[in-house]
Amino acid sequence: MNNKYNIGNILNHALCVVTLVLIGLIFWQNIDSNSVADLNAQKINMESQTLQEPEIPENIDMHNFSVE
Amino acid sequence: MLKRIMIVVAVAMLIGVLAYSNMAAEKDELLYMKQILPQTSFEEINNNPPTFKADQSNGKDHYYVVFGEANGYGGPLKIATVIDPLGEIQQVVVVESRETSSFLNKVLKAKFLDQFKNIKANDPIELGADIDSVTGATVSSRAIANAVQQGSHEVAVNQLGLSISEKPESWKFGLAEASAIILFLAVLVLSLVLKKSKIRYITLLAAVVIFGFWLKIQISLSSISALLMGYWPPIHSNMIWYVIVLGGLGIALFSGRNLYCYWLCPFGGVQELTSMVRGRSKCRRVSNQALKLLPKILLWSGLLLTFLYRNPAIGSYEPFGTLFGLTGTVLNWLLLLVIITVSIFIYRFWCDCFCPVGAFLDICAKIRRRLGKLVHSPEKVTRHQMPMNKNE
Repeated sequence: MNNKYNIGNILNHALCVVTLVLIGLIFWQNIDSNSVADLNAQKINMESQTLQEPEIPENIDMHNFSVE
Repeated sequence: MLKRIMIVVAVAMLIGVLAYSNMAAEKDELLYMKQILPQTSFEEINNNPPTFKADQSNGKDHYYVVFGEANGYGGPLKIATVIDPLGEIQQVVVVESRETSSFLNKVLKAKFLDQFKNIKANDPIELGADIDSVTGATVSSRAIANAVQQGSHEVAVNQLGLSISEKPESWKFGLAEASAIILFLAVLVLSLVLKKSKIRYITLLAAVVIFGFWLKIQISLSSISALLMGYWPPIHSNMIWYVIVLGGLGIALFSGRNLYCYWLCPFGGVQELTSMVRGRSKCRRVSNQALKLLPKILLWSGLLLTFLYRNPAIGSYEPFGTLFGLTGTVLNWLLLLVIITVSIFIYRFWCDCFCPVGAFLDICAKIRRRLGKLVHSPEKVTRHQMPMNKNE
């Protein structure tokens, strides 16, 4: 049989085609995931951030407060 | 003649696409603000970096949204930082990223961004001190921290009147950088001075361990396109990137030989190991000239895509990160499986048929050989400076 068409060469080419298909799909996958920020998932949330006065525990007597 | 015309057209297309993409408009921050805060009134108070003052629902207090930018592994990352009236960071959002999606997902899933919450805008915001990096995505983590720091310090100083205690930027030089430099120097001496080609198996093994499994870094299509597009990471914190990328390229341009592929490439080393499963002498080698053109075609296609989208991660299809970083999609794992299996039977299957890095370094070495008598005239060398006799 002509050496050019032996089973090894055919297999070699077939594997190259399989790999190229996979590389093509990876390119497509990369392009597909190029959308940068998922705006729905990353909304900036300011309304819930409200300034709060520092809380004073109810059982502290502020008139007789001393530091030891 | 036809070959030359094709080369000129291919290079002209790459330059044209790169120029076009650089002229294309950047994402408008104002538009982004309108999208994410449709009900809130805000005004732009600075344009470098873009800073917005937004009213809170009570109408009295103002929040600041500032957009910082820093270079990650794949190029610039744009980060929006929300700072409350007390000067504390409330939220950090990735607005624009060119990182490989699996790496960015790793950072987001590790709740890395949550670490910035309640940090003072005038704090140093230093990775390793104030913020912990995400293992396996250190470069992306550092870029995000740098972008947040850039924006926050701007607001702290110019809007809130705070002073910042900025530490001088320290150079990151440790065992990793020293090992990489030693390995490159060893290859230069062993290959060019002592001409001990058999020792390449030792340097390859060292590269598999050091560059592959330990540092998880090697030259890739992403790093080549980042280099060509000017997306260079900060040198003081990413010296290893410069050692490996500029080292491999520098050797090719200096000596006219592509030594990286057969002396230092960790993925090449892994393929050499798999070829030993059956014995190197039983492995075939790709001999079809058309198949050997594939790496150059893939290099061109990958560069075209990355230039078009201005995103080095787009053209990245190599299985390096999947093997050494153990991260990737089903397709990445499938490709790795095919390559590793086939390389048991065909010697350096990936390198000969698909590797864009080998193609790029070969072109650089060829250009040097054509142009060069910079140091000395390198003797005529075979592809990759590799002995073609597979029994050697």
